[in-house]
Amino acid sequence: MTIARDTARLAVRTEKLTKHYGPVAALDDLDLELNAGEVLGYLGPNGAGKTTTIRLLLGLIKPTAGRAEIFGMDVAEHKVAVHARVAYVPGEATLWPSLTGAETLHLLARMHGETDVAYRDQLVKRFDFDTSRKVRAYSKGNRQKINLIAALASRADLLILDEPTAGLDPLMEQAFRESVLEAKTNGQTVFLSSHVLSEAEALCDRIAILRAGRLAEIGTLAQMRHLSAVTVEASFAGTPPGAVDRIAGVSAVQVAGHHLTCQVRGPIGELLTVLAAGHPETLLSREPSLEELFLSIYGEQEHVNDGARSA
Amino acid sequence: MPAVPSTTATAAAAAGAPGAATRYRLPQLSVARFTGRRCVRTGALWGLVFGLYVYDNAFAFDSIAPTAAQRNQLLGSMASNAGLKALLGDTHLITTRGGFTDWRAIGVTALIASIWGLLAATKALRGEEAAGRWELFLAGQTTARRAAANALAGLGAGVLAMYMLTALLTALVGARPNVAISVGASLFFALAVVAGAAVFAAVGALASELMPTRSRAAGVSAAVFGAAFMLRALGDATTSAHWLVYLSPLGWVEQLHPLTDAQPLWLLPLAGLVALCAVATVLLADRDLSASVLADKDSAAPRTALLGSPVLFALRLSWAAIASWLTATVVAALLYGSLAKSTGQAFASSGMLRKFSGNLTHVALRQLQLAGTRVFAGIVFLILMTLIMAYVASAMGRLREDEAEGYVDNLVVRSVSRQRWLAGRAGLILAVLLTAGAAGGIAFWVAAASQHAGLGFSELLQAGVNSAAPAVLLLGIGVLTFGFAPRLTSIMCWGILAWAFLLDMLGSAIKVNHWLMDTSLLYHPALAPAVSPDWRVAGIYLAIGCAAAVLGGWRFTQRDLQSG
Repeated sequence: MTIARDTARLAVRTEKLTKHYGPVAALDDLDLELNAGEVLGYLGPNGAGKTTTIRLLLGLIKPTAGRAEIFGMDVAEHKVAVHARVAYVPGEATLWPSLTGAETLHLLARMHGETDVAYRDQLVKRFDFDTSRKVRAYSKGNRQKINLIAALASRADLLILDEPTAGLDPLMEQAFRESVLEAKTNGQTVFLSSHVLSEAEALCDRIAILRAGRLAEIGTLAQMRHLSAVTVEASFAGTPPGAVDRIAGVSAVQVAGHHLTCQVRGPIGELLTVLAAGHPETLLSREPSLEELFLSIYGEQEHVNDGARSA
Repeated sequence: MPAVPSTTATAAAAAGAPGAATRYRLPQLSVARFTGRRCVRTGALWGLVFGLYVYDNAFAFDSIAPTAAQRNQLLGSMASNAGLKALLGDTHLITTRGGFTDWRAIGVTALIASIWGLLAATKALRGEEAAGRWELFLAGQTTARRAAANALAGLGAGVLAMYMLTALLTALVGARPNVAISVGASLFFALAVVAGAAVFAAVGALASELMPTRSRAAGVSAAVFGAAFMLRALGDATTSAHWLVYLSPLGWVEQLHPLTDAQPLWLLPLAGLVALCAVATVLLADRDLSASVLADKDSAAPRTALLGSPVLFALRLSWAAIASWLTATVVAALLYGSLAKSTGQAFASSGMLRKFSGNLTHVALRQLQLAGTRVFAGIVFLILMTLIMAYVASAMGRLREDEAEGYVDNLVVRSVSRQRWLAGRAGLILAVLLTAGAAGGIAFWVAAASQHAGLGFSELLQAGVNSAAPAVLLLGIGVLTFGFAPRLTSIMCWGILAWAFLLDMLGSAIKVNHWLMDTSLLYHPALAPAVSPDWRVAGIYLAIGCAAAVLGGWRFTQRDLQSG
């Protein structure tokens, strides 16, 4: 991946960012760019290196090799200046149990340096959050709301969100999506690490998929879909045409009675010609969901691993 | 050791079929094992320290005076000295080796063991519950009451480890012909040493059921401990109110006399109190998770005071602990200050006692040709030094916990630099320890002045500030350890304190290699007001402490945060 020289438009840039814990490579040679105003979905299974990346971007841990920049500032050298432009929501909220929600929001705002109080009040209503209770009396979801409200109300230029909707109910997830879209409209940049693929699909301009500490894929959903197979389903009055599986790019052909399902990569013209010759009654083509893409990427890896094991 | 599933089981699991279940023995005892593992380690460590301390005292008996007659004279002076009795407890047959060892060893170790007990219990019960781990336990094959009983069993294992080490070392030293302590007496003696640990572990466990947070549970337990100590000290220091001793568990421990005429019946109220607290703990444990008997309000109007900066916020969170330490310092100084005149007169009238205190305070005899009041005050300020060092060790432990639990992350991902956070916390500890020193000096002066003891305000204020010097160095070493090896912070600070205390007590009674004594932080400072404060030593401590803190602080900014 080439590193852009125009750093002014970049909110985040990493260069061969690497973190080893003894012999274990938690993150390996990560080259990543996130444009200002962009929403990036950062996906990967448990242990892929998502939280390690975030902790490196925040300067909480030091890279073994490589470097990270936020808004052109080296994270290792300008931590406080970087943090002034960043708001972070951790996956697991460790907050002071003896403070109330309101006190915690006040404290976090003071430590950040600035907050939009009116917007904070609006977020408190949107997330249906009772600020008078003490943190120890809150559920996990309500504790997460404190971090979310504090981060969003800061109006920071870059929001780094690590599994931000963990513990939130569907209504609150909707409120979260609304808030992220507002942030995007305001020109804020969002780095969203998530397991909720539908959330990433709905919110993100680009998706990065991490696998075993390495960047496996990055691009828009459309670009990634283009690289993946399209699912085609057709039903016929009679028997489906039999020559489908000989067409270049077609795979996973399944025939059940009058129905045919297959996947096709690349040009679809030849498949359509063959299907049209069979006089289909219905014809559906569907791009893969992010979940299918994700599983496909990991399925390939599993396949490679299985092959390596049997060899 | 965790069980390793068989290959067949793994293959079956991989195929989605149920594998052969690995069965663990007695899952209902998981909490006891979990708590026991932690408590046995620290309990055994303190048992080792206590055993060495007993060794020191048993041999010290021969070396405190050149002849038996002189020794008897010295010990007789000690036995009638109200101040020393308030410090270490009442004496019984002190002119015998057994009586001397009882007095010197149990008077000190019972206090340390009690503090260990209350801290271990509140951490094991309320601390684990607040950290969320209790929830996982209660979701397993147990009930809240069983889990509480398990935790008590785990604490009991820690006390047992402490007991075994103490008993073993006492029996070893007792086997020496010139010491001659029987195995039975050694076993009973160790029981007296750890009785305080058992009592205050039970008190701490009960407080954990009563109070909603660990700090409050520890605060309540510490208040009970402080009251017990005061009753014991006042009862021992005054003949008219000697009955106060019988109201205090520490007084009951004192009555055991394990190495002279043993009084095992005094174990009954101790065992009864432990049993009462343990049963109450188990009964009260049947409540909602995170709830407490003395419920705190779950809602409150916001109070935004002391939320404006990391150091103010630290002050807000720790004011109760700071107030407790300062109160303990002031109350102890008031108590001993009120005894300064009468105790000082006894010191002044006994040359042997002056020699003994000269050893304890590292002051040459010729310098001790002054009022005995100052000598006694010097010993009290030595205790104050230890108390302030204990505050530093405790505060550094909490500082490390803040990182480990992830609280620091919340601040340093915002516009708070690591330097600012650490400097604020270390600065707060420094301010508290200096305040404690000064407050101790002033409180001692107030009490001593009321008795017309002839001690000046300025000299006692200086003595108080001087007594903070070892704690300043300990703070620097603590920050250094926090920077380079954060997980060792607490054990390093408590270890240095225990080492210094042990060596100082050892050095007060027998001749110890000076290289070894040099490693004690308590050895070098002048024990004002017995002698003038040595500001050069205090300055060196301050300089080394600052250098260590700066180095540790620099390292902290460079290393990974180690949370979770």
